[in-house]
Amino acid sequence: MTELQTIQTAEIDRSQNYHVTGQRERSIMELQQRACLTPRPLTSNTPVIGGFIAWFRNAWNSVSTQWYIAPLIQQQNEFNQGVVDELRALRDDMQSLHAELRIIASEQQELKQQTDKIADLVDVAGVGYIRIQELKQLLDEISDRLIANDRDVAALTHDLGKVTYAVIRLDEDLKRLDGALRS
Amino acid sequence: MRIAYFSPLPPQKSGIADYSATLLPSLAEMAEIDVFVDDNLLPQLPPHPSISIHSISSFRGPLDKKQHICIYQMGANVHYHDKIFQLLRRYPGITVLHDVNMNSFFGELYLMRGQITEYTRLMAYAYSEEGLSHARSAHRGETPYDTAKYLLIEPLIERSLGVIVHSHYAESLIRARRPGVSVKRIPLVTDIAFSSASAEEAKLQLGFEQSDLIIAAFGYISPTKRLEKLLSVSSMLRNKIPHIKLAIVGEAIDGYDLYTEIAALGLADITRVTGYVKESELRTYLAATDVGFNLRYPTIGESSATLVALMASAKPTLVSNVDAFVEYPDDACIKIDIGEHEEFQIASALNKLLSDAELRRQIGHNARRYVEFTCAPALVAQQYMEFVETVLNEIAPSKMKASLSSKR
Repeated sequence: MTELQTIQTAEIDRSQNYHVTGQRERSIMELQQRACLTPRPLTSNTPVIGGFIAWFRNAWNSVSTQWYIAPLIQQQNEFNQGVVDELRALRDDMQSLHAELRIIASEQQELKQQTDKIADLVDVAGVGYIRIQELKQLLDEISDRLIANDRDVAALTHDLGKVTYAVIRLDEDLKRLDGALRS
Repeated sequence: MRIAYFSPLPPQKSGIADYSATLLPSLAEMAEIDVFVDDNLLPQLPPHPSISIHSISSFRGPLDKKQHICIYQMGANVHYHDKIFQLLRRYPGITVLHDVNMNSFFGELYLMRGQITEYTRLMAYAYSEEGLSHARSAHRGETPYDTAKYLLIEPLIERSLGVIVHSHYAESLIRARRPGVSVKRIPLVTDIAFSSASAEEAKLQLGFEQSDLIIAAFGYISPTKRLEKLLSVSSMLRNKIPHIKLAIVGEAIDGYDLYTEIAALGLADITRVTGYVKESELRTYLAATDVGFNLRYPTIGESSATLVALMASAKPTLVSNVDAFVEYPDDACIKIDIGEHEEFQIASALNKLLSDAELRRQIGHNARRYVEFTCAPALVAQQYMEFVETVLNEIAPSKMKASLSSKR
């Protein structure tokens, strides 16, 4: 397995895992819920004067710190919301990437099958090439023999022609000789 | 002596048919001739007691009828020589090779009929590995068929006990390719009685004026006859020589159109293209001719029967100064070089000849004398018989053993 394949397989696993558990989605939901900070009201458990103490604390707080804390909370809220939004965007990007990876993995699987087929064909072609070379050599040998054969036939026909004419003349000579002997 | 003789004969439209018709009566004075012709052909040959006509498919070899030798007239026209070639291969004899390039013959015999293997085999037989490679490469379309280099005469001459050709050019070509082959040059034959009618009578008979000056070309009309050159020169000369007339006596090969050129040059009023004519009309045209035009280039090493006919008719004739035509005496014809000066030389020669009747007479006289002493049927027949004797002596029974062992 190549490095790319290893990574792709891992990503696919993670992607599948992610979808099965929905953990990351829940995490983001939780973060969303916790993104907005709200100040808690001040209370007191002291008997009798507890109410007064709580009132006093709130009053004091609104006078001494709220003007300072409130903007900070607002700033923190905005930041938190920004982080959550970014995380969502990243999650969406990741899902797209996972989808693309699945397509690529599928295509690669097909390519691999085709490569395997080509490799098989190359093996067959290699064997075929050797066979063709052998046949070509055989054909050349046959061709050479055929040429030699044609030449032999031509020479034999040529000789046969000579013999034919010689036989005709011999036959005539014999007839003449026979005639002479008879007379 | 009894000879089996294979040839086309009139009315077949072939120069070789005419050649045999002229030669056979003289040959028959010296031997008994069994003439084998295409099946169902009724040859136009005057009856002769020593000539008998047979169908070619009836031939069973020389042993059957005890012919002392077979003589095969071979040309490049497949229609007339296919069967002759098949017999030549089987029963060797003397081959009269009228063309020394037979590639077109085998191309038509095998390639045109889809028998590529036969052609390849023949090329391999004649030129070994080189021929085989060339044929295969040409079949695949990688290279054109080199018909000028591979003449393919070897399959014919190697099967033959002797070869007759008509020129020294052809003779040396064969000797160079197959030094061991017995080859003899015997000039073309022609009927010396060609020029019986007077030119004036002949002109009137053909519908010309007596004062017309006729330049005539004979035989198949094809680009190799250089007739475009004649037309081009004539379009210039007609202003200077008003009585000039052109007679193109013969049939055009398929696909060749000379009429367009004639019309384009405005020569239709002085040009006559006859198509194929019978022998009697051919003789009249020969007699009417003032100057013969017999250029030929490129050649396939052939000799020209129409040239010899013109010479026998005492006509001064222009020929191409190439191959076998170089061998004709310089004072018996006018030789035109191939190349950039060709048209100029044609124009100059025609101008001189058409303006000078005495010059025409003199060259015509020389031409006729040359033909009388070289191409007369009796002379040619005599040379045939001498060569037959030579070949038969080489294969005489007493020499047979040496003859055969030298071949193996």
